[in-house]
Amino acid sequence: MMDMFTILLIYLLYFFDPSNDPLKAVELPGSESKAGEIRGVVVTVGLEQIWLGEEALPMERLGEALALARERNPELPPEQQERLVLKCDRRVAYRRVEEILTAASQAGYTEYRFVVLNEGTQPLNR
Amino acid sequence: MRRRPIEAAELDLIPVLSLIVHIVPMLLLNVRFIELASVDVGGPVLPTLDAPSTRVLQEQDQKVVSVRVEAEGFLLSGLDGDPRIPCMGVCTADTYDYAGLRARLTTAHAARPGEQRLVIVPGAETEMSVLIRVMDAARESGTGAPMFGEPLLAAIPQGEGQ
Repeated sequence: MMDMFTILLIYLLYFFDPSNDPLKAVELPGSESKAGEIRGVVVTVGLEQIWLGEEALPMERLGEALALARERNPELPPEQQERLVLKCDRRVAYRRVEEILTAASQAGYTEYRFVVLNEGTQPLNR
Repeated sequence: MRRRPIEAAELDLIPVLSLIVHIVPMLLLNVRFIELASVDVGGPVLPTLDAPSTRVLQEQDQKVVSVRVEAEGFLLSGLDGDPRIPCMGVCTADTYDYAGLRARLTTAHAARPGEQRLVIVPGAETEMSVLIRVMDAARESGTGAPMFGEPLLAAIPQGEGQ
């Protein structure tokens, strides 16, 4: 029994995420997509809150913050500095997403990527 | 003087076990077993910017198919046949006819081989889950053949905005 617990403990510690990742506050939409590269400037869109990285921001400050984030991410490869990675809650209305895309476009982002949950190849009409 | 035989002391694992029993549920609550993927969009087609609006884009290039997400279902343009694909019952994220949309887009793509662009016109209240499933339906045909891999998101139609 001790062996079993030890293995379980190591397994869980391996997957443990101690960060304050705002992704914990959103339910991502499911998709059949399998593409995996999700590096770039990350914006998480919850039902009532928006985060740039791990920092919660009001919508009015997002455009300015996105422009700064591009300049302050020199560690990202050049092709990822202009990539906006959006982690949107599946219930968020497009009105809100459009505002963010507009702000990002004005801040100089040219590539947009939505993060989704890989649901394999299950039928679309669940 | 005879020495008494030393009894082998048993290791007391109960405190360790107790600790592990407390740690395991805590970790189980925080662990995430999800696999993330991503969906690309080719950039928003927003009339508020310098980019051409959906209408202009379609006038410039009649080959571009567009899918409008409405409260009653999908409305297609740029292809032949009935432009409407109604919901299966009351419209919710799960009752939009994604299979019907995929079938229509498969036919549309067969008539436009090589075309990868598709304009998606969501409504102001269209949920992200609907948008992603529309992109899924457009990306591959029922047999897995690639179709419209470069979706463009359009601005919210005027009058629906706020």
